[in-house]
Order: sequence, then C-alpha cells, then structure tokens
Amino acid sequence: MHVQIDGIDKWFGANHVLRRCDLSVEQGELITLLGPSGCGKTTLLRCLAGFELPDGGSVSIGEDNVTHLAPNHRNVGFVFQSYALFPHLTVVENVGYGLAVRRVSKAKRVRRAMETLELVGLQQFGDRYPARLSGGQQQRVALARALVLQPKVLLLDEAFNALDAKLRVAMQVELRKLVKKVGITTICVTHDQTEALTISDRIAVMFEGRIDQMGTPSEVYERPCTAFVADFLGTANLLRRRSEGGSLEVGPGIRISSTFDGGVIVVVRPEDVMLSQPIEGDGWGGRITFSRLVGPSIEFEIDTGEDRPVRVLSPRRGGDRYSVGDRVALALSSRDACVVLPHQEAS
Amino acid sequence: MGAVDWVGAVVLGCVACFTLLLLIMPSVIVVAISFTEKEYIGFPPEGFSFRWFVELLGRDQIIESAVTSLRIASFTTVFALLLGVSAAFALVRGRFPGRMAVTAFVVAPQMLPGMVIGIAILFFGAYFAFYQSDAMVIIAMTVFCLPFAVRLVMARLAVLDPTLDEASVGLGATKSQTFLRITMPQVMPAVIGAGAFVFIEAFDNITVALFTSSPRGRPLSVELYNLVQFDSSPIVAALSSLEILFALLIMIVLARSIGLDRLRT
Ligand SMILES: Nc1ncnc2c1ncn2[C@@H]1O[C@H](COP(=O)(O)OP(=O)(O)O)[C@@H](O)[C@H]1O
Ligand SMILES: [Mg+2]
Repeated sequence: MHVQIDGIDKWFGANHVLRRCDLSVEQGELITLLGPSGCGKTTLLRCLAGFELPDGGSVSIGEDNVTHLAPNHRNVGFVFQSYALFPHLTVVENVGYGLAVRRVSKAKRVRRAMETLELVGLQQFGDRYPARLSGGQQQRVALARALVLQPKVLLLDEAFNALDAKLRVAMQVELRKLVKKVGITTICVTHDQTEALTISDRIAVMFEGRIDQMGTPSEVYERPCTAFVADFLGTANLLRRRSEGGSLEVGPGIRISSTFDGGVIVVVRPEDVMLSQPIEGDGWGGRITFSRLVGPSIEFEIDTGEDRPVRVLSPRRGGDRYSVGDRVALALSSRDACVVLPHQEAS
Repeated sequence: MGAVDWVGAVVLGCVACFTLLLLIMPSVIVVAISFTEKEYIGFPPEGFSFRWFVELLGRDQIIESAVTSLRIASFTTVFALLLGVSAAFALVRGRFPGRMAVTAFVVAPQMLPGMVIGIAILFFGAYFAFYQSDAMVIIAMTVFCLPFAVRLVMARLAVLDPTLDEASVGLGATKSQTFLRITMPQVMPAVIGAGAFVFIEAFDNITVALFTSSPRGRPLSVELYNLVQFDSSPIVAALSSLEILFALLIMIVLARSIGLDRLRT
C-alpha cells in the first residue's frame, strides 16, 4: 500500500531527532532508509509503526491517516533488529501469535503459520523454540511472523546486522525476491550502503534527522545532491571550487557547467578520473603519492597541490604503468562530475 | 599452575565436604532419631518404629497449630505475591520520580531482623487496639517476606527484553493480551519461586511469629519451640522430620514444574 510521510518532527527532550522528514513510497516498492548510525532511521521507522508518536507532521498508509493510531491497529509488519521472537513459544506459535490475538481458531492458525513458514523455507522447524535456531533462521521466523498477517507495509530495522557476511548477502537477495513475490510495500533501514544499493528500488539517504535525497540506487550514486550523500555512498573526491556565471573550472583546462554560483563542491568518483602521461604545459595533474591494489583495480592518490589528494581508481591493466612518484595528468568527462552546495548551505 | 590447581581442588573439596556435613548431618540425625522406639532423644536411635509419628498425629494441639501455620503461610504467600509482583512491575517498568528511593524503601525490611518487625507491629497494632492474632502474624510476615518476592521478580523483569512487548503490540495484541501471553509467562518462574520461598519462610519462621501470634492459636514454629522447652521426647524429632519432608516436597514439585535452574534469577 502507498505510504506517505509529511513533515514529521520528533524530539527526545532537547534532541531534535527527526527534522521535517518527507517520504513517499509507492505500492509494492522496496525502499531503504540509509544513513549513519544515530541519524534517526529507527525513530522514523518506529513513527511509521506507531511505537513512537511524532511531535509534528503526519503519517498515512493507503488512504488512512494513521498518525495517532495505536500500533496494534495499524497492521504494519515490523521486524526488529533483535528479531524479538517470543522465547517461550515455538516457531509455529510465534508465527501464529498475531492470529491468536485476533481469535483465529487454532487449526486455521497452525495451517496459515505453516504456509508462511513454507514461504520462508522453515516448514520443518515449526516445533522448535527460537533459542534453538540459527541467526538466519530466527530472522526468517520474524519475517514469517510479520507476513502471516498480510500487513499493509513491512518494516525491517537493520534486519541483516546480526548475520555473518556471507549469509547476509544471501538473505538480502532472498528478502528482495520474497517481498517482490508477495508484492508488499517494504521499508528497510540500514547503515550499510552496499546493502542499500543491492536490495532497493529506491534509497532515501538520511543525515542528522533529515532525508537528504531519495532516488534509485544509480541516481543517488551518480547524481548525489549533497556532499554528504556523495561521501556516504561509495568513495568520492569532494573538490572545493568557485562557480561563476554558470560554470567552474575543476582543474586547469577542465570546465564544467554549474547551476549554482559561489562556493560549491564538485563530486568526482575515483573511477571516473582518467590518468595519462603528462604533456608539456600546465594541465590538471600532480604526483602520485600512494597506490594500492583493490581487487581488479588500482587506487592512486595524487597530490595536485590542494589540501587533500585526488583519489583515482584505474583498471589494473593500464594502471600498472604508473607508480608512486610519477607525474600524471588527470582527465574527466564533464558528464561524470556533479556539483553540490557545501553542507552548511544545503536546504 | 598444575600444583596450584591441585591445591585449589583439594581446598574446594574440603570446604564442600565440611559444608555438606554441617548442612546435611544434623538433618540426618534428626530424621534418624524420629524413628526410635525409646522414650528419650538419643543417637544412634535404638530400634525402629513409627510410634512418634502416630503419637504426633494424635496430639490435637500440634495438628491445630500446623493448620494455623498453613493458613498463615497461604495468606502471606498470596499477599506477598500480589504486593510484590505489582511493586516489582512498577519499580522496574515504571517511570516516576523517586523510583530508586521507593525501591530502597520496599526492600528495606530485609535488613531488619524478624524480631524487630514482630515487635514493631505488635506495638503499632496495640496503638489501634489490634492485638496478637493470626491476622497480625500474616501482616508482619507479609512485611517480612515482601522484599524477597520483590527482589526475585524484579531480577527477572530486569532481564526481560521490553521489545518483546512492542513486538506483541505490533502484531495486534492489546496491552492486557501482551501482559497475559508474553510478559507473565516469562515472569512466572520467578513468581512461583518467590511463592515457594515465601510459603516456606512464613510456615516455619519463628522470630516474627513469636511476638505477633496469639497464645490461643500458636503457629507450628512457636508450638515446636514450646515443646522443646517442656518436652524432650522424640516427638520433636518426628515433627522436624515431617517439616523437612514438607520442604523437600515443595522443592521437588517446583523443580518438576519449572526446573530448578530457572529459579536462579
Ligand atoms: N527512546 C529514546 N529516548 C531518547 N533518545 C532517543 C531514543 N531513541 C533514540 N534516541 C536518540 O535519537 C537519535 C536517533 O536514534 P535512532 O533513530 O535510533 O538512530 P539510528 O537508528 O539511525 O541509528 C539518537 O541520538 C538517539 O540517541
Ligand atoms: Mg537504529
């Protein structure tokens, strides 16, 4: 179902945790709230579920304004970071719990619980207690417990954190397949950019209680609209420049257009910078101060005389011609640079 | 290292044996004596018979005081649990000013000897023309036992994950459904443990009962105390044996129903 958050504010004492957050999620969409720890992701999710009452703004699910509705009347599925499985109930009883409190008959309850467990591949574990399941299995029980109620929205708070790296990737893929199969609107929370880029239809990047940018993974990666977003997703060179009359100079001879005037930051991904042998004259370039092998690529740091070196990622073949101490020229296609306002001036 | 470990094991073994000896031996001796054929207390017992148990059951006064004790223990258990469980919830989950102070106040009687509580309630009651009676024992005993109940339940509640409650409400349960289906089942082992503890304490405590019980309806502990002073027949041993058996039964039922290890909160 469609989810709409309008101008949500939340204070914890003097701590302004959510600052006029807006978020709009389409039916069946899988979006991720991505941001550093402490930026308010969990709080925003809890406002959606009704565990936290916002101090301002509104939350709508489908056609209904649910801002002041108690959590037990929202029919929102919530998967907690710790899974919060009931330790004194078996897997089937955990999954059937939401049906039991709705006074669904025992036979029907068990049947629906088993069907949902089958969906997550745990049908043979129905009689176990949660303590006797692995982390990945516990997570799937928590998922089944939420899904069995056919909620309007599924919310997952750092659901993959407790899993080891390999299992995490497998579960991320599995989750995406599952929610797409069920067709449920899903909002995940994470501080892990790889996870966000892997599973989401769209990503909402959060910073200090605000949603800085919302877009598809490639949009937010390629066209970040704040320096924070650029820096948080992958690595980026943040170059301070002055823009005048609708254009600016990244380096000698490299001009790109800009919609802002004044002090700006040019975001350049390391893989978009090309290295070449320096030609006589004064093009953009510098001396290599550091290099290291990163899988199939080589990462260089090039001292261009600015306070921070420019980072460049080159394919290993071709990149291995250069070594520390060499002078190199830098090139950049204007398509690959992106101009943003410095953080303090961002709206 | 090896030598130190070895010395440690020997010392630990000695301490364990000594403790076992001190704890178990007197009970074993009492139980053995209660089966004697003779008229006097002596160890080792001579012969084997149930005559002192039969005699015990024939004494109306002892039976009456046992019933009194059972009544006192039952009421005390109910009151201490009702008050103790509610207090523990308020003190662990509640958010009100002075929570720490109230906690200290509720568990304070644990620091006082039972005698002090007994005398205090006796004098305080007299002020309202309320005198020694079963009711007074129950009140004093409840005050005396409350801290144990509160502490046991608080310890259990403190380690309960509050997100379980949120998970329950998120799945559509009301507050009371959550309390009955999620919170209570997990607190229950501590409540049962506290109940057993309070029951046994209220049943055989003498320091509180001595000052607050009526001379016409003495609890078993006071009766036994009087018996030892005026009558040194093995009937005292027989009574003690029954009390040991009684406590043992409670422990077994407890272990069967919730598991002994779950009592350690
Ligand atoms: N119940 C609470 N009481 C007070 N402060 C809180 C509470 N929950 C969260 N906060 C504060 O709100 C901020 C955002 O927290 P949270 O939403 O958990 O961040 P995230 O999930 O992004 O790591 C943090 O500074 C945190 O300390
Ligand atoms: Mg969080």
